[in-house]
Amino acid sequence: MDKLAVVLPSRGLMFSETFEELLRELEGFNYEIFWAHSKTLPECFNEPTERALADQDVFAVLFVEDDMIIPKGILKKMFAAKYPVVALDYPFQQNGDSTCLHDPKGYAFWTGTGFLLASKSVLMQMERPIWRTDTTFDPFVDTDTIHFWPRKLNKVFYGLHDLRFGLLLYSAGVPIYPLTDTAGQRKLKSLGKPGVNNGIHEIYELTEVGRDLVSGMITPENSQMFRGALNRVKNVKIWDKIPPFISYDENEQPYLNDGRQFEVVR
Amino acid sequence: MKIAVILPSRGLIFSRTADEVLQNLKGIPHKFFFAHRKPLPDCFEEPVNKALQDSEITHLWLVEDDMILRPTILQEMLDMDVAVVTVNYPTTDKGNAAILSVKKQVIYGGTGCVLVKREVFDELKKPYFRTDIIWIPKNRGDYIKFTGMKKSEHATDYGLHDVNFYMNLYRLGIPVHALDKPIGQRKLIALGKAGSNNGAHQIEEWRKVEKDRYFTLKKNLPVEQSGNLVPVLIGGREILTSQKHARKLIRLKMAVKPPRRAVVIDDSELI
Repeated sequence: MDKLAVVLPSRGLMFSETFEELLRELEGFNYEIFWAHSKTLPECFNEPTERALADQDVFAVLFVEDDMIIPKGILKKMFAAKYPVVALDYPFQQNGDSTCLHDPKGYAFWTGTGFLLASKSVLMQMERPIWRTDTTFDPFVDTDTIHFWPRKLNKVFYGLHDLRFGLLLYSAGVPIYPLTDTAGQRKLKSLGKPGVNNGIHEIYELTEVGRDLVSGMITPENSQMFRGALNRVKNVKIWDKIPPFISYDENEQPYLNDGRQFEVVR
Repeated sequence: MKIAVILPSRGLIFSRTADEVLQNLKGIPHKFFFAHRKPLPDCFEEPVNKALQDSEITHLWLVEDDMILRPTILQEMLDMDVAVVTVNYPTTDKGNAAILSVKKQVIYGGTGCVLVKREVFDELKKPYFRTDIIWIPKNRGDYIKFTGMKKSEHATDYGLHDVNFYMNLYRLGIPVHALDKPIGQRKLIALGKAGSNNGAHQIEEWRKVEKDRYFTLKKNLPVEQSGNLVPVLIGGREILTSQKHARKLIRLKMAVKPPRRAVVIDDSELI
């Protein structure tokens, strides 16, 4: 058991710099890349993950997305953490937001799946399918306690496979450990002109992470409110069903049904 | 043996191509030399020069980011153990061939997938890849003549780095071999929808390819008679002259008859 499995789901195109950075990180490892090409979420994660786990030689799985900016030497650093599930935070939609929500001790409630290293033994113990986009967890900060509860989704939302993955591990007592080093993300602005000698694609890079600003819309008001709420958190409560004080409105948005005032961060 | 993988990219590589490149390299000592977001011909010139600085490199495998590669193609090329091995692939959705060969001799091909022994570069002059020269073919009936010219500033020709590279090999008498079985090329038709669980990009695969570009070239090039002028070789350089004058030059041993060839390269404009 000395093989590192690299699960690489791709929509069909990969940033060539990401490819080079990944190969650089894998140098010296006995590894095999388990690709998923042009598959939908969550199948693009589940199918290669299961193939990797079925390989007797695999001892750990590195999940890498095709648009990451991977810091040099980070994979060895992740292994040096000697922890079963380690991840990197990175900006999500814009500079200054993030994909990782930290708990009071510095572990993650969840992270993105852009660069995430997990031991095979942890993955093997998880309920199948490991990656799902039809359920999620909703959070609520009540004074000094953050509550999470699972919710079956009626509509299809983008992603969420990562959020569920992180919170499942958290509730199982094996929270993801996010390194302080962060990664970046590449975005395609526009395709280069075909049939010309200077047909390079226009690509920009997101490299600034705003710790815990996992909301896609980080207006100053939102981030201040969110950070304020998180600063109060001392306890974590994970429910196995919707708590009695929560109901959902016609837009499937949660609200407090016991008459207390509340604010929403979106 | 150590292969330099020369991978020029406009910034994105088809994930299947990346997968196929790695499959080919399994068990073969190699080192990658990328060029990201550089224009032609720098995207070839720069990584090739970097690779040649590594004294352990024995072969340079030029492979483009949109090729459809069977898992054995690199080994097939290595097994041939020749100076240069190329492979045919479609360059358009109509299946136009990358390779042009005449009487089984490759004149030029593409740089989508070509294996070059290191020593070949010792014979070539820098820059190895250039896009400022255009080769105009003329059909002379029993042969095709390629005349090299400086490309005008306003010309919009795409590529040419590949044609120029192969032309240099041809002029130096370095034979280029081609694999029998062609490969394919991928094309992006449309980007997938961002922020959606089903955001796969729309990608087309071109697998059908004509056997050789020669047929298209011949068909599109009517035979141009060169009048009464005939070629003779003077000091290795070919010139055209009248039949009477040619006979005289040959008799005086000032010129010789050029050997019968299917292809004539005229680089007099470039020298």
